[in-house]
Amino acid sequence: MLLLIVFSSCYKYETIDYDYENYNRLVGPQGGHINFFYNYGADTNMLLETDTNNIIVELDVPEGALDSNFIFNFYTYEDFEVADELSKGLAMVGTKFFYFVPIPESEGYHEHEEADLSYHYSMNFNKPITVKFHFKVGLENETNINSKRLKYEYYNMFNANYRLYRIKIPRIDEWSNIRNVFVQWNRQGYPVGYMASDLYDIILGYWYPFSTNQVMSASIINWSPVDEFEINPDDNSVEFQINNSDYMYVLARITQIPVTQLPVKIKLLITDYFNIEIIRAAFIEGNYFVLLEDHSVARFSKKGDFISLEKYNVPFASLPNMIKSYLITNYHDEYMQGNIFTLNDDTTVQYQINFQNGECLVFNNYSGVFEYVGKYVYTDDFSGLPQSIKDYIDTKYPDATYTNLLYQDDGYEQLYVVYIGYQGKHIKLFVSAVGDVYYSIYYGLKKQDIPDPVSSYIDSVFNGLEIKTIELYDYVDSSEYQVIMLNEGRIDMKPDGTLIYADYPILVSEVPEIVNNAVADKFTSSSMISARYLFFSNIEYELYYVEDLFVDVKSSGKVIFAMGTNFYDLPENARTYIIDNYSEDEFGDFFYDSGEYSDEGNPYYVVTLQDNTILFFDDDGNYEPNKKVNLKRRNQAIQKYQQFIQNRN
Amino acid sequence: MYKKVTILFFIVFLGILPVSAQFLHIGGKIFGSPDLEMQFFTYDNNEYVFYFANEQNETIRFDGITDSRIKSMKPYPAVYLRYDFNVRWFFQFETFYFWFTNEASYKNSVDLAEYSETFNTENNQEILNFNSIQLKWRFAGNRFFAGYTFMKTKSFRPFVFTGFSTMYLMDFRIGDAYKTREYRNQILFSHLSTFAPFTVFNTSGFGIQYHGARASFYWQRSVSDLDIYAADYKQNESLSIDEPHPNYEYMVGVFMSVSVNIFSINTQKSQLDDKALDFFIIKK
Repeated sequence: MLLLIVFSSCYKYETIDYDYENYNRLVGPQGGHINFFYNYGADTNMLLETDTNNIIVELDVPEGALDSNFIFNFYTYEDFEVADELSKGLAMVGTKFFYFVPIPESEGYHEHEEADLSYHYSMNFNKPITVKFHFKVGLENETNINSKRLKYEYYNMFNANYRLYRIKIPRIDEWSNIRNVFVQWNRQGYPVGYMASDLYDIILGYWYPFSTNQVMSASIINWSPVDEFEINPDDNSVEFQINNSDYMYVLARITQIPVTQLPVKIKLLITDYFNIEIIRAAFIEGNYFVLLEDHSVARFSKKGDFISLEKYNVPFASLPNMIKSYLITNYHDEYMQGNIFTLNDDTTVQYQINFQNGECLVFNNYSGVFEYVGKYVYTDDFSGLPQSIKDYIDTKYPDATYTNLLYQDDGYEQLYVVYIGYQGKHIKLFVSAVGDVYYSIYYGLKKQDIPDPVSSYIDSVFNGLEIKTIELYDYVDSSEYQVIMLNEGRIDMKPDGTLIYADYPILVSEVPEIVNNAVADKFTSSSMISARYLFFSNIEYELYYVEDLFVDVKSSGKVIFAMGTNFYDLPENARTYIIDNYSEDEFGDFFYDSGEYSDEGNPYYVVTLQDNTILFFDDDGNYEPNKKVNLKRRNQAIQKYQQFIQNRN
Repeated sequence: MYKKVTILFFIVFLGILPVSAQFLHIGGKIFGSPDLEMQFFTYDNNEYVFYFANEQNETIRFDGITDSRIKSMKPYPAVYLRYDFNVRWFFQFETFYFWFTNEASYKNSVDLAEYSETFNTENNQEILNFNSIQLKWRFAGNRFFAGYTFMKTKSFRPFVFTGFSTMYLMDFRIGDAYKTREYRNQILFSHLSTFAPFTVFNTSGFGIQYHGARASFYWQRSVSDLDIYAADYKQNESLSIDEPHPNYEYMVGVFMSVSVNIFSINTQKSQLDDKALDFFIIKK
């Protein structure tokens, strides 16, 4: 009995006073305060989570800002290459880039153990959330060499001239369906931030709203200054408010550099016609890209001829009268967020007017006078969606969640693109104004969502490679799965396993003998670097050689196209002609077209000399002085080839 | 309740002694547990989820808690007091000391490589606390049982017994851990530190005796609530995960022991001497 009493008195229930609330990133409608703590340094055993000096970000969420419980994830992004590129005339970064990804607690996380991607989750807060970013916390403990370089070359330069900028993260399809930002999920099934390559494109302006052309020059077009912020030098923090999750932030200083490499002709053209300062220029693929002070981009040919000008945010007063009248009459209550003016070399002009409510109007003067062409409307307000479309969706997808709506009117046809969430899937419906569904795209599918024949084919071809995206295109009378792999290989396949399209890399050893022989018969280059398998109406192989040769060959062994810079890949007769009339040193590149897909009918070679002289030869290499062909195909091939070279490097 | 039961047994035990007891043994014992299983509560819909606000956005998810099984032949000490009466029936009271480690495991949102790079600051080969916390337990206890010994005329005498044990949680703490994860670990541990300080088990077993030495094999299973929140949970199983709720459902184990009498007293020696004298006188 005595022992019992002794033992009973020995144990004292341990009460531990650890405040989880101080270390919790879950917050609900009642509001709250979140402290994000810096990860532990390598040289300390301190309990950093309890040390307020190690708070890197504070979020103050007021009551009512959120409608339900949200988990806030906080990420930083830094890349020495980005900072380096920006420093060349665009901006000096003073801190890491940082952003938040809120996730509804009710949605939970992806419960699967594989890497995955999803689209950016956009949400507006009912009230502004106050953010305090302690931008120097943790920098002392950086061990990564690039982080150290950033610290010494950029972050330590921070001074009072730096301002807070925000960089737009587009909502799904807001900047077109090829400009979406992906959230990357790790193998544990949790988000680890936006894909670095997407952030790279957004920060450096390679993507921007409604951009259709490939932007070759970095810009800070997506940057906009945050109007109200407060830098506190005492604790190296910046405090500001956020209203949504659609931006990433950085403290930076916009810079300008002198442009010395531009031809005088271009400088004079800019001075005479635009009367504006040049802040950045690039020479890419034979064209000059000049970034002007107003962030417009002027393009010039190698010879200095004007090609086009894209101008952003033209002041309202400077817009053509017709457009001004149209806007005043129809949009006098809307806030114009920006516009894009495009002047083409044929003097035609197009204006895109963007409004804060998501509308984008298109005007052009192709007919000689400005006229309204059509508009895009990107919104989460579904009140304008015709009832017939709502009925269709509610019947086919009961209890679906309406997320976004894109309305397109090009003057001829109205099209609604409706984004909905249904049973854990995201669906995009293309619907006419009268409710006819042209087709639907189910995106963000998982591997378990695809039928066995498709899954088996992917397994057999890609041998366990991870899938990047799966989309289902559901047409009126058929459907197709489009699967993109992490190596950018692509498969389009019907649910029954019928292959529609394929484009993916294969091993050099997998190229059929007949294809290899066809190349060997025609060209001297022989060291193949890589190969791709193509399937559409027939099977083709794209082959790349060390000697700078790119060849398209049919599976039957017929060479379709070729492009290269190796003089000895030309037929002997062509080489002799060039040596006799010019010299081997003047040779630039060549292009071969079998004529199969062009109007020419007969095979021919196009040789471009260093001075841009173009020579034509027939299949045997005989010079054809009077040949004239459409070089569009050649230019496409060159672009593709150069993309490959760029990727390879 | 259990204290009352214990007191009652003592009264009965002490009451029996003067009636028919023969030998009182005091001995030492060592025991080990080849298999001890601690079963945790599992919850269909609810999980412990901790959203830690560090740069890794670390999320810890206890999906119930993984079964924890200890297999160890580590010897633990005990002392006992056994009373044999009429060479068949016996009562035994033991006091023992018992300790072990096991692990509560969970899922971590951070990739292992990332976790190792970030938190394994001393580059240890072993990655600690990524998806588990080692728990260290120390118990003292009493065991009381009654038994019956067969074949009283033989040298090797099998016996069976049944009774109950009480265990007192002397110490409960986190085992091997990174110092730099102490704050997070303590938050996790504070939700695991719900083991009841006083617990009761039933015990049954069998063994064999050779003179003053015994070897036995027995099992024990908890019969009282192991968790301080178990009683509330049983009354209201719809407890929200945000409310305190139990972790430990039951514990069951098998044990092996070897014991030897150190000191024996024949409590009826004078009566036997008198009877022998009577017999001798009659014979005579």
